[in-house]
Amino acid sequence: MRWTLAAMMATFLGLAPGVRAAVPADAWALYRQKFVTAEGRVVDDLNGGISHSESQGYGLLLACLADDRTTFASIFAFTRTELLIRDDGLAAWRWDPKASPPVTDINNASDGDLLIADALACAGTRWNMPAHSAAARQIATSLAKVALRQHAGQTWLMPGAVGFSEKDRADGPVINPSYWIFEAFPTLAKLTGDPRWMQVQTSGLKLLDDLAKRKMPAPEWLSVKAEPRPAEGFPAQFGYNAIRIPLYLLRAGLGDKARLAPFRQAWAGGTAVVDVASGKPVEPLPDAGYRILSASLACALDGTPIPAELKAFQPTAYYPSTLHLLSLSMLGERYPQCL
Amino acid sequence: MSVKSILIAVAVSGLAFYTLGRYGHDIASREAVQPMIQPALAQQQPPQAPAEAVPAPNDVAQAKAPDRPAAAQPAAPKVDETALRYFAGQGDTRRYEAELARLRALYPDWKPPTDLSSQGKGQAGDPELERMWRLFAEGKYGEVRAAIAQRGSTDPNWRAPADLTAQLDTVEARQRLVNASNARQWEQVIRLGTETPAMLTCASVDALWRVAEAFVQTGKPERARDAYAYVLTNCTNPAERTGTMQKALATLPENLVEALLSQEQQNEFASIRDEMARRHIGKAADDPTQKATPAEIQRIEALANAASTPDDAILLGFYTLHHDEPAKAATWFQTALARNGGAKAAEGAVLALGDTKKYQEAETLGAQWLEAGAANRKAYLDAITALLTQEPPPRLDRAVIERIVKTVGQDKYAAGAGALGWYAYNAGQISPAGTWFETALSWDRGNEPAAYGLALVRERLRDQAGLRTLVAEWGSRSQRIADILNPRRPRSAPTAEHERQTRQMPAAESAHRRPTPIVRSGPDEPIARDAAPEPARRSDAPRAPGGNCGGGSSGAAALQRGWCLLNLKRPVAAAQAFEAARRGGNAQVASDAAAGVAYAKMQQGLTAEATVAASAANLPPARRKELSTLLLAEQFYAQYDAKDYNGALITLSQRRRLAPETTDLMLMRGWSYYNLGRYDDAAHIFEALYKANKSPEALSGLTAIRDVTKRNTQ
Repeated sequence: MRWTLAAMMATFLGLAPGVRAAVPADAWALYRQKFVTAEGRVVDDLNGGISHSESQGYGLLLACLADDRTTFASIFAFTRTELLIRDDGLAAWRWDPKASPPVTDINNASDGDLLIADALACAGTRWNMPAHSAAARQIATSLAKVALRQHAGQTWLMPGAVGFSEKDRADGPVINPSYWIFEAFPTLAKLTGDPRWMQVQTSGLKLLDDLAKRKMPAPEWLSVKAEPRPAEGFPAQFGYNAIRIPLYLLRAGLGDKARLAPFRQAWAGGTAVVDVASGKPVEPLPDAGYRILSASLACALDGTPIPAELKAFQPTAYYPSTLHLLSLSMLGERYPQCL
Repeated sequence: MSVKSILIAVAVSGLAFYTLGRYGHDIASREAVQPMIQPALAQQQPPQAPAEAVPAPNDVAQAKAPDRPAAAQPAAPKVDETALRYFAGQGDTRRYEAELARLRALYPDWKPPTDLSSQGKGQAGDPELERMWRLFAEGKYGEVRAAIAQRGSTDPNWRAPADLTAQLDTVEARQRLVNASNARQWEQVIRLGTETPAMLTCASVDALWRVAEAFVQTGKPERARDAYAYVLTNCTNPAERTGTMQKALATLPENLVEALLSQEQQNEFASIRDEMARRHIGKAADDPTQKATPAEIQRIEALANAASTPDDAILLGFYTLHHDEPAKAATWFQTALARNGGAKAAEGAVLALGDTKKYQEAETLGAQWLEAGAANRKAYLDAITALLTQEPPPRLDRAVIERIVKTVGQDKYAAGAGALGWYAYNAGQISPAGTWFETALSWDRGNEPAAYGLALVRERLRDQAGLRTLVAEWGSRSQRIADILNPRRPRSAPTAEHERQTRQMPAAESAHRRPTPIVRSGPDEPIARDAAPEPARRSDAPRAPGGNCGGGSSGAAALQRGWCLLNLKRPVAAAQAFEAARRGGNAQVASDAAAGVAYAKMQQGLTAEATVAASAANLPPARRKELSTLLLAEQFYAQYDAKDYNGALITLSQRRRLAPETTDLMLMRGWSYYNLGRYDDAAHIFEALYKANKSPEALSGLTAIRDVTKRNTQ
């Protein structure tokens, strides 16, 4: 009874921006020691040790969720000084310590900007820091200007300021469904008063529901020029980007069973990169940080217990470890019975 | 402080840390100079806090009680000396001085502490703060931010010292500005400068330069000028002052640079003025319509003379080369060559020698630099083209000819092959000339001068079929080629193309541009070419090789020289010789010389002057008649060219009273009738001519009449 009430409370509170369940302190400490430098850089170790707006955004979000003001301060100092240098106020997406100057691509990535804005909003609320909320609002406003796009009666989140529109590609607009960080949309809508953020959520959910009806797990890159289909020039796979989609849905409390069904089906034989047409696995994803994604789905939908070895966090590589912590915080918040 | 400055200061006081913008000044008159940067920045954005500004982290850490100095600071503020003491304790002189300057600017009435060894009040025994300053001094700004946040979360009553957060804000903003500038995010650079003017001081001139560049890149050069002017007004580091002018010179329009130059102190911008002079000279060297000032020339000449490097000499070489001082240019390029000026100096030297008509020297030098690059080869090929088409054809060593032929062949340089053609042609070697003209055409099918040369060769060789083929191919494109078979428009006015070609191959052009009325070898052998059996008005006897017409100051020698020069188609020199002969010789010589002057003027195309010369001379009747006949023919052509056909026919009638009409003048009479629409009269002439010698020109006249009358009856 006590558990149920707590879960209900958590679900209810989860709708209010900024009130989030914690990332376990010991797990966060392990993550921080391995991937966050003293200067506040979150290192993508398997990717040449570079950093990007996504890694900085995840670092900020996890620091906020772990209630770690200290680390948040250093990560934001780095993010602000090194990446938030674009004319439009958004973040340059790629930072390479081996390059000079280290920003090797000034383009933005909308998911990185979303994560940074969401994390700043989290910090502003959690620690009562209006300046962080203001910064979140500013990024959200810029991102709306640059990346929200009306097409065929719907509002889409473009992956970046340039390169994906009808002008840029024959099959444009092209979007990436894994850039829909659903938990951020209500926060940004409330911060900015811009209803388009909720329209973006709607379009994302409709897209995933349509794909679910076609029993297709979301491919990484989709052309939404007409009927959504895998974009030209990208492998039609449910791959490294897209595997985050069920996690984002669950984190936002949008884990509708039918919507999640194609993902469960895709991972019936274990977490993997999957060919969306055949449903066949292309590459297994054995890391604990990936396996907890499907374990979370199973527990959230069917109450299947999470294996003990996945409940205990051990850092591996930056990306799966990040997903691991996000999964643990999600389970703690929404499905504490699973832990 | 001017009213405008005060207004601006008020306008920008909404920006965070306006007053901190003062720090870093290291000159006495701070009050006067503080707002200098503000006009540059404040006008960029309205005074409201910028909409897209991401707040400094310390705004967050200090959100509830931002302990910042405000513009209207009340008297006797408490001055935070922590940083000053820390830097003093660390022996960090650079940061100590910067902090000292900052505090002085911020608190004009403040007196620096005399005892720096002791900790200030309230700072004693705060190892955590000590650590923060240490991290700051080590440039670990992220860690300072972390330390401040950590302490703030464990001790809610703790506030970071204002000067620590202010310094952090400044260094981070500067780093961010550098990053944005490296990524060419100019609007962000300007925004950051506007938000944090504290960093735009003499302590970081680099940031000022970057802001200035952002203004330039966003089309606001006056704002950039303001930023540079701020440095020149306030900052004293000589290297930075000169660097500022270099940046200004590289990015600003010159009128703005001039204004900045007026802020020079003690001739410190001499190198900038040198650079400006070089720039002007360089521009004018590329564009001969521009000129550098004498002062600029003198300035660089002095540098070039004093230097041991070739660059300024090369610059001046090209300037003088393109401003009609080829001799000077040649000297500069020789200087540059002596200083290892390399291919560029050699190229210039070859061009300059060519322009001074020292073609052989140009050839000799150019031959040594053929492997240095395309520009050097081009200069060489131009030089040999001019060399070969000189009048008279120069005597060249076999080795020289061989390397010319080799280079021309390697580059398949059509103009060079054509020049070899003219060289052979002018030496009377008609067949080899034809081969070279054909070669030139095979390399460049559109090479009109070569086609023209070939046409003349075929005419000389009586190759009528070959000539017709050429005329058929070229007649529509080249009037002078068409005219070889069609005397309807026997003389075309000089055109731009003619001028160009004349420059390229003077021998060919001057020999064949106009009908040559006479070629005389001496006073006793007048040969009126008009009277030649064939109407070869363009043909030309091979000239004697060599240009030496002898010396001697006697009247007879001068007369002899005059005829020789006339024969070499050097009418100006010939006229001078004849004038000398007229003054210095006996009556017979003077009489002959007067006639010579008239011939020379005629050869220059100066018909009126020739007439004057002829009438002024005391000539024997036979010579006078001969001269008059020639002058009337010239007059006829002038009238014909001016389309005065009636006048032309009258002139022909006058001439016919003195001498029988030549075949080609008869032909022209026919064309005059034709042009007047008197087709019957024209047909009569053409028919007579055709019957007499099957002249193709006469036939084409008949054809033309048939064409035009047929057209009229349709």
